[in-house]
Amino acid sequence: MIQLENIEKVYRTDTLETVALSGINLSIRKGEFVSIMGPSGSGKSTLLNIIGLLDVATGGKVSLNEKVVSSHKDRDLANLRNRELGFIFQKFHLINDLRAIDNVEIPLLYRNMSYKERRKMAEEALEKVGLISRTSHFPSQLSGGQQQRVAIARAIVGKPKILLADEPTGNLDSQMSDEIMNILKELNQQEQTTVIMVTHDKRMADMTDRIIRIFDGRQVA
Amino acid sequence: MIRHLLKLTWNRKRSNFLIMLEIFFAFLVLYVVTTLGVFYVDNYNKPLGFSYENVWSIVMDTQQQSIAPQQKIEKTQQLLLALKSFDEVEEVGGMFILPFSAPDYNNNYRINGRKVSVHINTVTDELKDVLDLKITRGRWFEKSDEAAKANLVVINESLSKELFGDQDPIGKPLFEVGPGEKEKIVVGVIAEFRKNGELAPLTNYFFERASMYDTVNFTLPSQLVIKLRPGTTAQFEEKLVTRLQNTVGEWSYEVESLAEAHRSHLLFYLTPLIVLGIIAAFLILGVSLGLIGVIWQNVTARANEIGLRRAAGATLTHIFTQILLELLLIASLGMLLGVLLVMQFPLLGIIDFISAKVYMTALVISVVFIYLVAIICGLYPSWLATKVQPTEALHAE
Ligand SMILES: Nc1ncnc2c1ncn2[C@@H]1O[C@H](COP(=O)(O)OP(=O)(O)OP(=O)(O)O)[C@@H](O)[C@H]1O
Ligand SMILES: [Mg+2]
Repeated sequence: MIQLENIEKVYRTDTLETVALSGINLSIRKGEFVSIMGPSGSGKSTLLNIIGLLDVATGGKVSLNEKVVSSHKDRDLANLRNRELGFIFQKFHLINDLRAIDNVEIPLLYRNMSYKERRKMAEEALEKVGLISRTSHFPSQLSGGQQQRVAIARAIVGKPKILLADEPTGNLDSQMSDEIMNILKELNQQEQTTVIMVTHDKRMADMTDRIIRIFDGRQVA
Repeated sequence: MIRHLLKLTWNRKRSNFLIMLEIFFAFLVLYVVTTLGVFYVDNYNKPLGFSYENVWSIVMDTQQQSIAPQQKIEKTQQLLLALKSFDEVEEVGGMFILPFSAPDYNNNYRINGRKVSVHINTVTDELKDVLDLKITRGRWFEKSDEAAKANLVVINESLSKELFGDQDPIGKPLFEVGPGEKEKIVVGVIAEFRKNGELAPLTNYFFERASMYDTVNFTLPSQLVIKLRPGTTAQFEEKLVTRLQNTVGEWSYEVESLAEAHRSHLLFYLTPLIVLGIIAAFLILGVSLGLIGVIWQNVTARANEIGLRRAAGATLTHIFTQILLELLLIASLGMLLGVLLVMQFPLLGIIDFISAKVYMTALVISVVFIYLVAIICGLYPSWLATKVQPTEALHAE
């Protein structure tokens, strides 16, 4: 489903050249739950962003559903992010001035869809993360765990086939982390959503099908 | 999308309040300016009704508290003869209120339960030729009217329409008069006479005949207007005044060309427009800076929102239009109150002299103008927003 071939990412400034990733070859099957581990600064986020088509590699090929997408234009990449991918971040990135349900509907705004349809799908997504009773709350009125659940609802509202999570439990205590983890597992098992999760937490990583280890921009296992 | 952004803008109303307030005030002042401007343009496009080319006015001051009518008539006759003896002078007329002068004489009449405001002037038989007035129906005053029993009047088309509708006004009394008063009988209709010039609104107007010999009502005017031969230069003024002084030395004379009076009268009308225009320009400058500040903040402080939206599938075009649309929404909310307020004006009747057409045109121009300002202010910051790198914006600090 996702294929990375010889991916390289180099950050260049006038004086400095940082190799964030090099020689990454990776194949992720449909329905897999994969975690990415590695020390801080090893390139995990960079890798996830390249898989998520948010960032472009300086070398190598990215394929999604057997199609090479690394050379796509902005419009096509945006469309793929919108339909195929869902993102979850460590810092949630909810819009504070919008209620939960309005945050959740965001990906659907970039599709041709009526207000009613959007509402219905956003409610369904909130239902899945167990927050149907909090649809009209603003982020500031929710706990950290609840905020991350809203963020998950936003990631899954468009029914993407792939979920990308960058340290989704990094800001949460262990009980809340477990809740989030359970939701991700459920999505993976019941809806065959492919999940790729960056984590520092060995306990979380052990719950996934496969662990990809990154060290200094290179894949070590 | 609009609905989504409307919620966002509404929920941010507290941080957008100041700029909305600025927009509200700028809109109001702009509306007043455009109303005045559109009103002037609308007036300007209507015919003036007379010609002031080569026409000079002479204001005679008798220098006496009171003067015997008989004496004034005699001296005026001498002056008229003196004026007519010039080759340069083609025609001499008299009138109570000069074109483009500050004084005005108007009266409100209650006719069939309606209030009709009418401007009145008293003029001599020659005025038609001096000012080249256009008779559309009936006739102008003539010498034989001296013997008429009634007061004869010539009205303008506006007044004719106001009082007589589609009927022919010729020979009809102007209004019903009280007992003992002389009736006013319409003898003719002129196309127009806009004493205050082309920027002033159309008014109902009528001329009464001034008699050069009437010692009873004493309607002899102390302002003369003279039509000069084309090509007469300003040097003629001195010759003219000298002869007038030689004729009736105890009076004083003030001569001015109507073209000159016209120019200063225009300025009198344009000054408030210019002053308000400058105020509006400053307010709009303030609004522009405010708007740029607001979006600038939107783009920098909300970088991670932009990154998030990009991750959720927004194209660069989506981002660009979102920032611009938000701006237009802020402008709309700011104007909304202003528009509602302005909508009350016709209901309250405080702008009676302004037609619905002028009112609506000014409203549309003001709204479009504010939107244009918003768009122009928003273009660059919106473009900047598309330069936000999602990976950096979403980076956990
Ligand atoms: N915009 C950038 N410019 C230059 N170097 C960058 C940039 N973004 C990341 N890097 C570098 O790339 C390397 C990988 O960064 P990345 O954020 O992927 O690490 P990470 O594994 O996610 O770390 P963490 O666990 O702390 O989140 C780091 O050395 C970082 O300094
Ligand atoms: Mg990271």
